[in-house]
Amino acid sequence: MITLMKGYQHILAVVEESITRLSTPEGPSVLTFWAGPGGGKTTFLNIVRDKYARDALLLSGPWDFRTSPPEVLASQVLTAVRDAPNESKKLVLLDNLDELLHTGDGEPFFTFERQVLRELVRRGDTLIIVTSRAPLIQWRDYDVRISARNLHIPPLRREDVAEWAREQQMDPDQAFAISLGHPQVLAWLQEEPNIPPEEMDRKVADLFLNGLSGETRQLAEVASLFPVFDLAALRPVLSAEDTESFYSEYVERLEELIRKGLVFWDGEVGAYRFRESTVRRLLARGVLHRDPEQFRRIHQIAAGYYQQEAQRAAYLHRSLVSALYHTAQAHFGKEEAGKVCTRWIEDTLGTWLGAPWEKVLWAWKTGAGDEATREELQALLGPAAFERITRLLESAAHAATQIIQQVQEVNR
Amino acid sequence: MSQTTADQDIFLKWLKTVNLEENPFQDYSAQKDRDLSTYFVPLGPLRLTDLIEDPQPWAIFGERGSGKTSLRMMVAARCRPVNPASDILALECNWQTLDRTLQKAGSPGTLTLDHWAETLVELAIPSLPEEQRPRWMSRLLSARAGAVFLAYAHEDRSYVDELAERLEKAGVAIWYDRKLHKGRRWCKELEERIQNARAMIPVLSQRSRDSVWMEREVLFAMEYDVPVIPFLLEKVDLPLWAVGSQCARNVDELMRTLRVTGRLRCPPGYESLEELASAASVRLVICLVDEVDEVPELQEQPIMIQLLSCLMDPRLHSVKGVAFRYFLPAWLKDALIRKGLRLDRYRIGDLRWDPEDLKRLIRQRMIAFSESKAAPYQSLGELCDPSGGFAARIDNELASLAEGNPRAAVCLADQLLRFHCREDSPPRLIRPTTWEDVKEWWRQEGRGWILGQPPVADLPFHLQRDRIFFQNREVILTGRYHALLRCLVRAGGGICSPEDLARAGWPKDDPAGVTSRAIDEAVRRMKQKLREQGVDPGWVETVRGRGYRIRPSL
Repeated sequence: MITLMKGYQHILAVVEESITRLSTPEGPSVLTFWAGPGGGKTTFLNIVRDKYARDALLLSGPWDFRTSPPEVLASQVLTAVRDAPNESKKLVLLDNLDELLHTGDGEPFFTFERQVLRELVRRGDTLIIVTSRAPLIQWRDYDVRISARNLHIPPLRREDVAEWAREQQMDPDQAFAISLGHPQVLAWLQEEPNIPPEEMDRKVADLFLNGLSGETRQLAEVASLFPVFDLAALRPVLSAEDTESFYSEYVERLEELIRKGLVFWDGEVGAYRFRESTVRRLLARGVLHRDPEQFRRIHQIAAGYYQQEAQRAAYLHRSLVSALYHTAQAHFGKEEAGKVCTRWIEDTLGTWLGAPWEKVLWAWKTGAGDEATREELQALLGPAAFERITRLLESAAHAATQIIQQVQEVNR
Repeated sequence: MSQTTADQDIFLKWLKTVNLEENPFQDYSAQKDRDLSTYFVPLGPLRLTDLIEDPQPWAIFGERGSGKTSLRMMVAARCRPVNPASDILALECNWQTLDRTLQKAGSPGTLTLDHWAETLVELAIPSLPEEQRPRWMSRLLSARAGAVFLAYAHEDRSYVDELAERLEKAGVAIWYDRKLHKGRRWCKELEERIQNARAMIPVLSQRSRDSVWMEREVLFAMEYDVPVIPFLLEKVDLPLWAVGSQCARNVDELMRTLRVTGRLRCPPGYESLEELASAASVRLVICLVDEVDEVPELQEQPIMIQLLSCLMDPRLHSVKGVAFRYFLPAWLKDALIRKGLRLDRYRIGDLRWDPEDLKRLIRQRMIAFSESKAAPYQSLGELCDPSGGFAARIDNELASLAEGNPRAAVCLADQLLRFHCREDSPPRLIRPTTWEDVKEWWRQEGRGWILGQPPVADLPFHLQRDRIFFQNREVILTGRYHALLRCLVRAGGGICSPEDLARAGWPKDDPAGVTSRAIDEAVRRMKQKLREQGVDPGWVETVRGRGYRIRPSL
């Protein structure tokens, strides 16, 4: 695993700030840094260890729940904290704590929370840094729950990858295009700079979809083409009938993906989405490489579905980004993607009077709450088309406000 | 809603299908749910730690079902005796405790600070190590339950009747032979009464001094260690058995002696509360006063205020080592201020739930009851059919319908699951039509039940099929205005959100596409038309940021 300390500076700052705020009312006591497989969790923990070992804050560890039984770790952690000088701030590092949730019925997790974390949290002088493959929301104890915070370990930024690529004497743009900043993919690239695309796709699929049933794996690959999705959106793509058995069958598969930590229900957007955009895009690229025609067909069907959904102006904020994303992807690699999307917006704009424009503009400007989707969409459409669509939507929002004001004027 | 066994079986089966261990929403109130992990109470800028540790008094106000009792239980769970590691002792006073205190006092009007202090001491006693209990506390504990036995000569009967009356008025239970049960063997009853007496009071006079019966009764009492306190009715030479006894010459002296000898329950006095914290070996004792509005026969506001003026007496707040937390109904706040209670001397907390808080509560319960600990459910939407955007909007709609009340939110979620399981084989995902049924049920029944809001019949407006009546006079409105008023009347005094009104007034349009300004304007015009028909438009009330409703009264 590569260590790029610079790429983690911004999340290290959160650790630094939390240490400063220890023993104050606002100071979080449990920071969970989460990322999927190969997302840099252990690397990040080692960086923290190296940084704070010098300040004598660190007690010991990281304690890894993959390699030691929880009872042993519980006793080690408690002993270390109790033996430390009372007046000093303390730092406890726990790697892969979510493993306990997958042990038996998950009870070891709650036992550890009750016996160890609760005691440490109540001390107020100890910062506990935890890693997990998904955000930890299951805390039972109130004190732990209110002092816990989840933070994503993001993929490395373009400039971090570029710096790394220069050290490796590789083309920075190509390194980023292949890896999308994912630490494990960069590690594979470091091991084998000329790795064939299909070999990389196989490794990616094995890393993220390992252990899933064949059908669920297939569903994951199809869903990876969607920034957000639900079963109603997937049904036409899967050519399935609108029956109860379809929902029962696919809900089971979706739940397998959720248990795996790949997918979650985003309550804000009201749809399922991949936990990590980078993972989704790496998987989607595998579909493109393997069967470009299938890739285009799925996006075409999805575009049709979301364009139809967009006819319901009241819910435009839920469909606009997906409609444009899939339309653009259906024209992937072609210059006209931006033009097609702009034309669709121009043709449909007149039917959107009464849309919740504030929400629509928010969805458009944030990629429906996902910065990576916005960037991808911008790249697919091209800067000119993206800018033009932004202006069209803003004008429509402005016009809608004007109309409402005019109506009120008349009524007055 | 009651369910048959067969319905229950279907429900449980369906819960298994969707990987829920149990129904996460079955308990609507904190008392039934001892598992604190499923609680969430938004404290805003307040901190639970402060609520526990602050020596200042706190008053937490909240509507019915807003989580006051949950909060009280959360506080108690972090203190002794539930959490032995804590250095704070919590004394929980619920409606039963308050009811007992009132029974002791007789009425809210006669309730004194000493009665209240006695209740607090009684609550604390089980948590205090025996060797650390103050002396007065031991006396309080050792007081015997029986009556005080009066022994006398029959020639003194008229004076003894008077003495008995005065003692009973002072709260001392009395027994003397006038209370003998007819038909019982009197000798046997006398023996029992003396054995169980709190004290024996021989009334000494020239007539009784040489009474053989009195002497027998006194000796019998001494045999059973019942303390004997001679009462001197007049100047008289003491008989041999009375020599060396502490005698009383009047009722005051008698009362004092009874108290000093520990034979009467001795209210500790509120100042003695200062000894509680050290007796319990804790840093602070916090008294959690809750459910004032649930004490039977104490539903009227003036009586409740009378009770609270004792429970919140400012003198209590100067007692060191003891702090008070009052969990009070929000509607009492103004009344307390009017009564002159200095709320500025309290730290005030208002339990207010915004829709995000309600969704967080639902999320927390879903997580707690999901079978898969690794990937628990976080929203109702995950259990719902995604078609038509239903799954995406259900949590928001529910939070909006619950009017900022967590008990209402839990009840609505519960009903959604139960309504779905009315079918023999409910599908895995909940249908949008089920939610429509739940909303209708909520307006007709649930809202009144949970929030205690007036049902439709209690409002001046009522519906007959599609026609609207105001105090039995038909209100004629056309088109959209009729639809809007009908929507408001159907809500039975509940708040109609802009979305509800949009659905009613603009049935052909998407509700989210109807702007709030359009709705406001339509309601304004509807009110104008009501005025034209002689109906005070003030009946239609704007609820800021939430919608409109019909007021229960003007």
